[in-house]
Amino acid sequence: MLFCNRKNMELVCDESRVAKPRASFVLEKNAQLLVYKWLKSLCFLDGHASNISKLVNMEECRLYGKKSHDCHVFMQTLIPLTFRDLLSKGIWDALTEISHFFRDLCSGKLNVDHIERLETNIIETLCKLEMIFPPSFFDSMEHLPIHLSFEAKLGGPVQYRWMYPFERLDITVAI
Amino acid sequence: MKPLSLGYQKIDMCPNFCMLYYLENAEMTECMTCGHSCYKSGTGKGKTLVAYKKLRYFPITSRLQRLFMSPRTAEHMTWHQSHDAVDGVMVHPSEGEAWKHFNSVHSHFSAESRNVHLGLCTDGFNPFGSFAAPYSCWPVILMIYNLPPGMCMRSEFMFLSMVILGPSNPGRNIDVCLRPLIDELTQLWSSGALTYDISRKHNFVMRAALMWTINDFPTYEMLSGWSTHGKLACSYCMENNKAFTLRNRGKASFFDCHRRFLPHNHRYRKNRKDFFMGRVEKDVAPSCLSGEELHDVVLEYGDIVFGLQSGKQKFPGFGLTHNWVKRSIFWELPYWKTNLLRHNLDVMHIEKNVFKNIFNTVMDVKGKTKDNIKASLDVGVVL
Repeated sequence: MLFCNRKNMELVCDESRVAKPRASFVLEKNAQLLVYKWLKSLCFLDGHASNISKLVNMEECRLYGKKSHDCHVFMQTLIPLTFRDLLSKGIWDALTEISHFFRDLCSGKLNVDHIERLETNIIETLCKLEMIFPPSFFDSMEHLPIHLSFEAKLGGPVQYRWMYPFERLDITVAI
Repeated sequence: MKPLSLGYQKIDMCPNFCMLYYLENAEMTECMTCGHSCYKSGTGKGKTLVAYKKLRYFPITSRLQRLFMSPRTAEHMTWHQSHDAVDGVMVHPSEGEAWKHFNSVHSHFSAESRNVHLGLCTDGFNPFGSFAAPYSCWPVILMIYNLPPGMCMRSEFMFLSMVILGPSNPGRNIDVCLRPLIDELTQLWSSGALTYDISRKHNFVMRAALMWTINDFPTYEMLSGWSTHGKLACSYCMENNKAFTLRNRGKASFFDCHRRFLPHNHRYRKNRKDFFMGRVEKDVAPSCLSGEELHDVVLEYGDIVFGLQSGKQKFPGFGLTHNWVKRSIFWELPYWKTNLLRHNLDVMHIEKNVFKNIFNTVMDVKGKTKDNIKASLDVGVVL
């Protein structure tokens, strides 16, 4: 029995070696360079985010020293922009949906009707991600968004229930 | 701070987190569980006694009373009830369902709008920087949800309640350290504290309730007692989820655990090709247990002995039918089982981890991507 049917992910065996084909959700090398180049030239309004262009290491094609808030900005605004036209439409749609889910969830003013809509949409979004990514992608962190909208309905806006203020306070305590 | 009656208590504790030398045990010199001496050798006998480990506890009652003494803050302590709420829009936790439910169940508490709604946050960090020797310091912080949005999460109104020093992580033994705080919270709930309110210029009995805790995912286990490892990591789905262990990666995967939340007639439910091979989803979403049901479940499991051995004790069926590791100390609060939301999943960490996974996989970052050889082997593995 197979876990799932992913023709594009199966290993290709030659006589001498085993090759792993590039999956549809992975960018080509040229496209990756394009993304890093774009990130390098990126400027934000003052106070919106840290200087993301400083994180880019062009030689190694990596981002170094991402802070939690950089990930927050990336998740909410940059994911749809970065991967537009680089990934196929179906994959880009799913990534954009999860990005919008987090953006709507983190809004300071939550509409009760809106949360219910989020609650139904996130299920479909996660299913779409399941159709794209392999089983190893889904650790517990990919599962938890499904309960976040429920918690938002009970507890109100997430700004009062997340750890940003406390992580900041830790620095003060340490000093 | 002592002249302002905002001092703190130093409570000796066993360096292995077995017990506090507190109340009836205050006079003891050796740990009841592990037998470790409380004081360092060579101290005492004319010199000052030095304990191996100390817990610094900052009583919350006097700090709350202080808020009512200042005209700048006293008037804001009723904001949660006095502000104009728009129907169907939430801008503050007081407009959430959990808060409303709590107020309706405990009408005697909600009748006095000056009663304090608290939140608790704890997180471990290394005060010497991430490159220094490993050391884990755990501040426990309380915040006051009565205040308006602009003040509520400001550092001025967050009260450090306790500092649990390292070098090791308290882990499940955090309950031992939380004891003084829970005692004080229980007392604040049952009898309250006589407080002078300067905005109305009279005394009243102030009471306080803990609404929920804020914690990251590993801390979730320490505070709630539900282990966040393995296949049963999700504390909402509990034993009803369909996670499985991947052979080659050796970790739990939550693949195809979400179709059951879809409506009955959804087309994805019949899709045999793109999800788990050949599976048609017929199950409905798992139902969440209420606080009272959970309380009954937790009561069935006995106490564990805290200390060095706490990680090794396992309740029968652990990892198979449940993931409980202990009965959390919060269940001792008389109102805890009526809370709808007890422990928050931290949006910040979830968002960060989801982003990192997506970005690293799509950009094929070496060593970080989830689409590696092992993943490919798992896709094609024959069970």
